[in-house]
Amino acid sequence: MFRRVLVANRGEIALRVMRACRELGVETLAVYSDEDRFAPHVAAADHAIGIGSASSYLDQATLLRTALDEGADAIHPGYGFLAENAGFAAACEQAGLIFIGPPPRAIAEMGSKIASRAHAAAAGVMVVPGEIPGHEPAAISAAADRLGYPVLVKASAGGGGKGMRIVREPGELARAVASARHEAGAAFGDTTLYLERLLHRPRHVEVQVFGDAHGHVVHLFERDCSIQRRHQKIVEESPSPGLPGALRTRMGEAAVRLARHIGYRSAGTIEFLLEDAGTGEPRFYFLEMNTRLQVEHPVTEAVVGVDLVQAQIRVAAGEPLPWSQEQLTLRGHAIECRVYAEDPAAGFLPQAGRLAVYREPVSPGIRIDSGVTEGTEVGVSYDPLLAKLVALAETREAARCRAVAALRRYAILGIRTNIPFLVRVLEHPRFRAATIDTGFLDEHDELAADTEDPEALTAALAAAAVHDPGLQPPRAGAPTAREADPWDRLTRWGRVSP
Amino acid sequence: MSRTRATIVRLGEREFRVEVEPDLTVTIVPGEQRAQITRLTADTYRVVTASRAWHVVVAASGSRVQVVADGHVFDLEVGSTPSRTRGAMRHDGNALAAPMPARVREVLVKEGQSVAAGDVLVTLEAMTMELAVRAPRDGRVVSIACRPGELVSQGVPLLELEGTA
Repeated sequence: MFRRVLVANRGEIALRVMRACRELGVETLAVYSDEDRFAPHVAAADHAIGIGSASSYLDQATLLRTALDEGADAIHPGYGFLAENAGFAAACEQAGLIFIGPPPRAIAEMGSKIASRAHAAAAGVMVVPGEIPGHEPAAISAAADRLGYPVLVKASAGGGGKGMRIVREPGELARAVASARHEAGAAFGDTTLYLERLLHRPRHVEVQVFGDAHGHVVHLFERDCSIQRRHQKIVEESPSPGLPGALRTRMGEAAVRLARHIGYRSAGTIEFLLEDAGTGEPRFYFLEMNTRLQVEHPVTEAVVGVDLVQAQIRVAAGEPLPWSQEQLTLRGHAIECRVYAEDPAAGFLPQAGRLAVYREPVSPGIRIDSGVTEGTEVGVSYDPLLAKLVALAETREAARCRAVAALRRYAILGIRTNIPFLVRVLEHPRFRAATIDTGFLDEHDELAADTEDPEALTAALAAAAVHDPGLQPPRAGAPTAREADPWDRLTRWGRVSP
Repeated sequence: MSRTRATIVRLGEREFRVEVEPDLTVTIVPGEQRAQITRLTADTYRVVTASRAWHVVVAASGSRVQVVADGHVFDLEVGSTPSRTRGAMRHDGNALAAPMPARVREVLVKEGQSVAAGDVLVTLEAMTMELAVRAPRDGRVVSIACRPGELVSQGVPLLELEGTA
């Protein structure tokens, strides 16, 4: 086992990785940018080293040097930043450090939409019909015609919805190609585009896979991530509601086949689009592979009862997988909600500022992975994800109710968050009925608007007034220091027992 | 000696008079909604309204008070003198302000330049996302108050636009 792991990340995932290290008896080494000096992940680590500017979590040379100087023997990249950078994974190996993740070759191969589709096809996994038409306008429109409209234009190197355009008719194609190419060039330095048939009301169903260095590959069932806004996942759950058992088995087997085909090691996710989920003939298509730990990994941890990060660390240290396929079973239902610093009512504008109040709900069946505490300054340099709330219960409906109740007791003030929006999504009749697909949020713009509950307003107005120091009755005599506390004066009015 | 006290609480354009009895029974006017309050901690209250009890947390910063009641968030203003609200800060007269704390990426116009409604004037970067500040109307750029790379707070004027409102 490792002696000391450098965690090359920040926020909730850095804390998550450190928890796994602590439980395994491995020391943690945090790195932090100047503005993260007081961040929770720094306080949680055994050792912490400042590495400079906001972008320093991407500074490979500094990270490697810090790991070597501070006696770390392995690096965990979390997700984002360098997690899917094959060059960094290889540089770790060359420096004599263990990269806690997949082999560099698997990252490189599956990071390319084109190569990954070829691997999927070779492993006998159906891919979404698509083509790489090159740069010629005539070839592009011919490819779109062959695939049939609506067609999706994507950046080959892309992810997170960047460089992605839906084209509904031939007249829109040229403009979409131009803007997608521009965005792809700016975001990934690669303008290669890729055209794909847009599936009809697909669900996003992804399979968690895990491999070790001893030839074992297992799957840990699926997560349904159909609740997306502009290709950004908001709510994830496992199992996928209504997925027939036979189909679950086939998807799991396909995912294992592909992971085995590419010699995968560590945790990875194979994303599928599931078309016609509600019919007698559902079909699933390979979408892409994420060669890292996913944001939504706690959903799987909840329903399968495993610790994926501990398993990553063990496997990276050369141990065999801690579970066989036969030992893995699904139990109950888990729903994860991503809590973002953004204001849905203002066009999902990211929010920055100090968390004047930050109180997590504490309740059986609720897990919260967060990267902030009360008083944290949410800055403008990083992703606006504050925390993930995961509810586990015996049924989907029980998990849904548990998540809603917990979200209502999740008090965050100082900035706006998407918590009221999450509650509205979970309370929506279509979410309750699980008749959801990846178009759900786009079809329900109204969920972004605040809905005013008159009684909640009454409660808020009443509390604001009672809280107001200006409300207090005037008293004779000079003010004293004690009078600075308004409650001292309030209590003199007498309290009503609850 | 104790008697009813009252204060004004605003929500956007709406104004409420909140009357508080000595026993912390509260009446909201207009509407005559009533509530009964118990203080739980320095900033936490249990508020019983017509049909249920609410868990309420309050964060005050001067006259501005943000309140969350079981997942419902309100930005309120307590006291008799209204100050500028969130929305008003964006287009205050001729000045165009940053809608959130951000880093200025690009300034796409020059002083004296004429612009049309909807033109992108400045791009900001916040939390790995790009935000475009657009001209709310046709007009002419009078002055520019920001430069690329600069960090700006919410409400800080970025440039001044002259034109027909």
